[in-house]
Amino acid sequence: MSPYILFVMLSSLGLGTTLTFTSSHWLLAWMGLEINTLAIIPLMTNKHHPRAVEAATKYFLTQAAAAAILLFASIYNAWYSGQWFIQDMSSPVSTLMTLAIAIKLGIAPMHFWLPEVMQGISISTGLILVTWQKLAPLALLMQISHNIKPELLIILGLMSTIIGGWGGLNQTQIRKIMAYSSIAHLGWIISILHFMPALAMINLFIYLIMTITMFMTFNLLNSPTINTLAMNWSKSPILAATSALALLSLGGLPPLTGFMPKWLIIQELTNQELAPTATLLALSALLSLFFYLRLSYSLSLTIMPNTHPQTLNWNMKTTTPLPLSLMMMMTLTMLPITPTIISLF
Amino acid sequence: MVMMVVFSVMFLISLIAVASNPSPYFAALGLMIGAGVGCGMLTQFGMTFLSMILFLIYLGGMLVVFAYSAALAAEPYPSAWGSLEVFSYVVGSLMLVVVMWMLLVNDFGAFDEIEGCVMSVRRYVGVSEMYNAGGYMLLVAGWVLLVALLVVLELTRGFGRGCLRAV
Amino acid sequence: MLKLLIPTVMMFPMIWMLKPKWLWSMTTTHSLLIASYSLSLFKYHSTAQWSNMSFTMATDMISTPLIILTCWLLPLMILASQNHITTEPINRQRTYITLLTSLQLLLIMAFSATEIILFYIMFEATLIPTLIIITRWGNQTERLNAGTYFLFYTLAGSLPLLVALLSLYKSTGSLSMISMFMNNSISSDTWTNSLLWAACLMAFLVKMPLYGVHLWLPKAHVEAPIAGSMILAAVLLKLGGYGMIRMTLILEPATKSLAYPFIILALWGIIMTGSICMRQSDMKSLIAYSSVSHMGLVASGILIQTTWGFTGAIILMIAHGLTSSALFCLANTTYERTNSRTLLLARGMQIILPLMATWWFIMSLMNMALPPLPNLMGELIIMVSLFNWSSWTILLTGTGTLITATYSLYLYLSSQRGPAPDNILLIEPTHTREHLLLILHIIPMVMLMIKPEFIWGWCW
Repeated sequence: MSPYILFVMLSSLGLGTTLTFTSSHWLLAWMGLEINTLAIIPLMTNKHHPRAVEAATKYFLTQAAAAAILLFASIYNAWYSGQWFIQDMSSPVSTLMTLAIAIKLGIAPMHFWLPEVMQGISISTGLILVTWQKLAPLALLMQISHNIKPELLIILGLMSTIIGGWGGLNQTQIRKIMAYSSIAHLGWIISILHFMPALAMINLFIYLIMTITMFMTFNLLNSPTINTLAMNWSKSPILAATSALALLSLGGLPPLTGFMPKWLIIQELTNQELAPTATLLALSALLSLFFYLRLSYSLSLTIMPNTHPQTLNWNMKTTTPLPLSLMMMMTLTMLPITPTIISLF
Repeated sequence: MVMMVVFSVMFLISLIAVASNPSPYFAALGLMIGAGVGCGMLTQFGMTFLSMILFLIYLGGMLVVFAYSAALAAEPYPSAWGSLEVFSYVVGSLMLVVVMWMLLVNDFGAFDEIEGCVMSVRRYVGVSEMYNAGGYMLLVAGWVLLVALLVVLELTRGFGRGCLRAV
Repeated sequence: MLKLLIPTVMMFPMIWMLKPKWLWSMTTTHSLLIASYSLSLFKYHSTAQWSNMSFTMATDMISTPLIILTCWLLPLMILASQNHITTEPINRQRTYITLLTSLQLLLIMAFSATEIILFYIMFEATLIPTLIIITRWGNQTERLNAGTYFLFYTLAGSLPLLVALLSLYKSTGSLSMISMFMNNSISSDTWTNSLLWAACLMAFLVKMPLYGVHLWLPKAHVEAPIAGSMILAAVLLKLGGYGMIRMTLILEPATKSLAYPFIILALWGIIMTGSICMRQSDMKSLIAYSSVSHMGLVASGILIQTTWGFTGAIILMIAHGLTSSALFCLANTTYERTNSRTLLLARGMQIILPLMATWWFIMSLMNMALPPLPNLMGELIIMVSLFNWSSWTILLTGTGTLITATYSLYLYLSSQRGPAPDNILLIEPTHTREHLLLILHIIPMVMLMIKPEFIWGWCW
């Protein structure tokens, strides 16, 4: 790809999300989403092979369909209420709007495209897909969250956490597993959205940190499957050890950062008299934890018998980049500063 | 009112023509008819200028689609609506239309009521309002088109990369 | 509490900066210093229940013995692991000791927390180091399975606990252990309250483990390296008993009617797991099942909620902690020489290692609760309070004692007495380190025999 085109695409990627953030008008928000969708497609097919083309096609079709539904819903809203402001959504249309955004985000039961698309593209593009591309639709969803029926959001959230956990159980491909992990985490975000949007923001923030860490790690280790993951402890032992912990943090085990959003969400749901829902959410996190645990088993908790490194150099010039180190620290150790983080949002 | 009914029926027929999955350029023909008739329906609502703009844009776009689909699928024996498979789709779609008609025809009154109060909110300002209030938005829309163009060019660049091929 | 926590935290830089030559001796010394310093917690500063109060931490008669047991276990674990860890690369040795030390840190914070959420977080936090110790340093491939069982049994029990704690927090506005007895307690009038009660206790009953949800424990014990088995049997199981003692304060009227099935399960478990022990061929598995059996007694002692029950539970937890840890050390000495946990392959060890046979003898007697030992005190007090609660329980507890004596004897006789098979005649002699390790297990027991009120809670 020529650098000029790459520049245009990346800046459009930024522009699209920013437009959606800043707009108060449905049409402009829709245009931002469209720019976003269009701009990532050449990035997806950058490594040009049939799987990438297939992924880009699937992505384009689902996103275009979602955007069309979104446009339809916003026009219907304008027809119904006579104005286009995002904040003043009227209630009956918001369900349609939520479902359209759910397709865009890949929330169960509209999640089927996400693992397929993730599998076709490179890890770094996958990082953009599960982090940056989620921001614009989530921003829209947060702005209309007070008008969405909480039942809808909770059902979507529960389905996402359960399906996200369940789907990942059977996978051996890292990118698909990370896609299912993304689905499960979005389920947590969605289920709290109506009651406390700020908490959803915190959850999104932590999710971004943890996901970026994991994708940077997998990118550095260059391992697309669980099997290749197992060979990495000799390349960079410290990274292998810490990223196993980072996976457990993604699963939400207590002394690590990932526990914080789960704890706060369960607390808020309990305060809303939704303790059974909170229990279901918490137990469905166990499903996700199972495949995180499997990843960390093969990443650093077992040693391949055939590559004992007696003559092997320990560090094969794999220097961990500084951003990854910083993100890793944030992924592992932010639980004690929970009050500070809460005060930021 | 008669024209409205005629346009509506033609619109429906063209939709079925597209949905019954004939060869691409027959489908494109159906799409063109549908687009034209849709613009005709808009003139019946009284939005003549908008329908003209829309018709011109549609015509331009549809010509491209027609040319493209003709080039994409240059089949020696294209299947039109007469062939068995497509015809069964036509029959199925017609049955669906009839069923929907029977289900919904009693509720049609509801549409009339809403139409009276809401459709006229911004009708009197029309297109000038769009250019006036949404000037920056049109700029962004232009950017969307440019990005779309670049994306298409990028996707179809080089040997063996695009999807334009003889069947 | 910082006077214990800061030295423990400072062990981390020490572990990673020491020269390899000094790694084991210095860490053992340092942790022994911490352990001896921890004894000062026995000096209760106030006549009130809590002493050593700080912002979120305090100690009392229940938590103090457990904290000291935790501190005491760290040097013993380091001593016990020396033989099989020193063959590894130096960085892995350092990582291993770091994990053990982090466990001590987390456990001290868990036992001294006065805020239940802090206790919960530390309770869960101990899972990660233990998981890594089991799965990374275990020997067979089944260790991965064991690690998964361990993690998921505990988490499935404790995630409802989190929800229950937070909903308690919503209704009472405080989760402080210090003021907890003043909160409105749960009655068993509605289904919601019954579920809340179950959620509050289930996590600890799984951790104990109660018979029926105990399957993770033998797996984890069998697969874990020696230090993992030691800490698991000695302290981690006691987290469950400790948590139950704390939580039952607010569950008062509900427990009276809801605890029946759990008490029955615990008492029945004593007999069942004891019987499993008697037909066990795996040494570590036998000791693990004997843990389940003893913990059943502790659980029923706590669930009937009398002062004597609590006291007996604390005494038995401490005594069993030291005993089972010592038994695992003994099993490990055999394992390191014969490379097998099978009882059948390690018979007649008395002829080859006579001093070790003495330790085996003493430890078996401790496990079957011989009269002057704290084990007997604990069992007796729990049995008496159970008898007072319902005289029929004597059938179960009495049979349980009989079975305990039988399998302890079976363990001792089959491993030590009789003719030695030829395949173990050429094993290496015992090290002084191993004798030291076992003496360090026995000394506290003897001391507690002389001054038992340290672990008698409020009952002395």
